[in-house]
Amino acid sequence: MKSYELIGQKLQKAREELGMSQKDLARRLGCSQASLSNYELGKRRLYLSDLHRISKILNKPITYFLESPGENAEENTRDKDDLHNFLKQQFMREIMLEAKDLTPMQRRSVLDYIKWQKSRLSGDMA
Amino acid sequence: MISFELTKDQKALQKRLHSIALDKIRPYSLEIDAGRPGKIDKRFLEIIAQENLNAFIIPEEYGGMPLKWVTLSIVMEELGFGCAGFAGIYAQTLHAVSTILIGGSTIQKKTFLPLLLNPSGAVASFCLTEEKGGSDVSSFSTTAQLGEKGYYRLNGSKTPIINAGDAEFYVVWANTGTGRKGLAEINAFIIPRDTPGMGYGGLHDKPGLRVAPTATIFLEDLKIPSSNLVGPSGSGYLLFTQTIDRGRALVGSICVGLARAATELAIEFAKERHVRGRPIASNQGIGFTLAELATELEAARLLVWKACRRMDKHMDYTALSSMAKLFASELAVRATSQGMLILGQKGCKRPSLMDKLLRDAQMSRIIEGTSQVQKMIIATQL
Ligand SMILES: Cc1cc2nc3c(=O)[nH]c(=O)nc-3n(C[C@H](O)[C@H](O)[C@H](O)COP(=O)(O)OP(=O)(O)OC[C@H]3O[C@@H](n4cnc5c(N)ncnc54)[C@H](O)[C@@H]3O)c2cc1C
Repeated sequence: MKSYELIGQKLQKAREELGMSQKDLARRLGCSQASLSNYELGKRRLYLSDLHRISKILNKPITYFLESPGENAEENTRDKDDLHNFLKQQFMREIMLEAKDLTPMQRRSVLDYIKWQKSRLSGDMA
Repeated sequence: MISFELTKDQKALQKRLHSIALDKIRPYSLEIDAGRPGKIDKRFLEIIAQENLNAFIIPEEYGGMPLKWVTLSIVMEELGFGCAGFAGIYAQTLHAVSTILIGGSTIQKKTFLPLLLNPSGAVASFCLTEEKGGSDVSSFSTTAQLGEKGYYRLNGSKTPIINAGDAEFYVVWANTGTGRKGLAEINAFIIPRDTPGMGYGGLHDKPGLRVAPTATIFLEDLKIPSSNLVGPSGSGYLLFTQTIDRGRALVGSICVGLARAATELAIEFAKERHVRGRPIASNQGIGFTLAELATELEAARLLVWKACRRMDKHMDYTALSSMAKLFASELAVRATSQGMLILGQKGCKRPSLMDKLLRDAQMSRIIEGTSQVQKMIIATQL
């Protein structure tokens, strides 16, 4: 994918995540909706000062718009899928059901116990 | 309102630079072009200082004058008319300055820009391209790793680099990560001259633009404070695309100057040279060629001016800048090739102006992105 198409797609995604319309963002940026649409399509290049303002409005660091898709899309999806499958296991369900009635302090103790068990396994004891 | 006329001040500037190009730049450049590659000729640095050329690219608050891209294109065209190699030296300084103006901090601007107003003449260098290729600059082998607190360590090399070894400072692009985060890991750094860890490879011998020496720069565990990082971390990709987008229109003006030099030489020759009792210019075969070149010259200049005007007005200029560079550099190649044909055996001598123009024109199609790359950029904007 061409670099500015990638930047444009990220911009669109960040805008949509905030539920902001093209019209709203264009108004806040002081550009026409057509220009914003061209930025999102990668047909018009976004320069540093523009992206700086966009990153502030959309509350994302500049690097968010430049990272390769693998970094924050595919990998995140893979991580999310892994976690989802793990939580579906019978053993995890049991833990979660039992932990439901515990106080926050008791839950904290359970977590500490799990961490202690892990550190014993790795031999990394304090 | 659209105006195609220059102001009184612009006309005076054009006239002044035209005489510098003819009387000072051109005679030296023919001599340097014929010799072995060396460092930038001292006489050129003197011209930069005496004529205060760097003041055109440095804003008033840092010791220069108001930066106007249309005015700068007039300066560039005349320098290109005098010698495209000399104009190339100046263009690289402009690019390094441009990056700092786009993303640099006030301290960086105050520290580095005035160095270029040195009374002995000064240049800066823009170091993007690497041995593996200049058309795809979305990843670099040159790395910058954050080491001791507040310092980066730079390793790698850049080539071919104009002003290498002569510059007051270098704007160098490097990858600050592991390569996994793509464009977000590209960053630009300002490296002052004589920083330990910086070395220069042998000067390149090349067919054209010989007046602008090019060499390789090597960075070996070069330690640079993070205060020399330009712009917010991760902004290097945006910095160089904007710098080059602006620079392309200006390289277009250099090419207009080069093409104009070839066309004027051919017209002058065609009017003087008599074959079978009449000037060769009166033959339709020659007259039409000259008419086409003169027409295309006007068109190329207008493209450059339009791109520059949009820069002055802070309007989108990417496609126009590439169009200006593409059209003007291809015209430079056509004008010098036709010029050589019209001059016949008189153009085939060495040293001769037409021969130098022809070789310089070929290289102008490659610098700042080849003609294919310009077409790729224009196509994405359609
Ligand atoms: C005299 C001179 C001075 C220079 N000075 C500097 C300098 O000071 N600083 C700096 O950073 N760089 C400098 N450069 C580098 C210059 O910017 C590059 O040469 C230019 O960008 C082209 O890159 P390349 O030569 O590596 O060609 P490559 O990228 O290797 O390309 C080779 C050929 O393939 C074509 N090509 C590549 N990709 C495509 C594609 N997708 N579709 C069609 N064709 C394609 C290119 O157009 C070219 O014709 C200089 C170059 C020259 C010649």
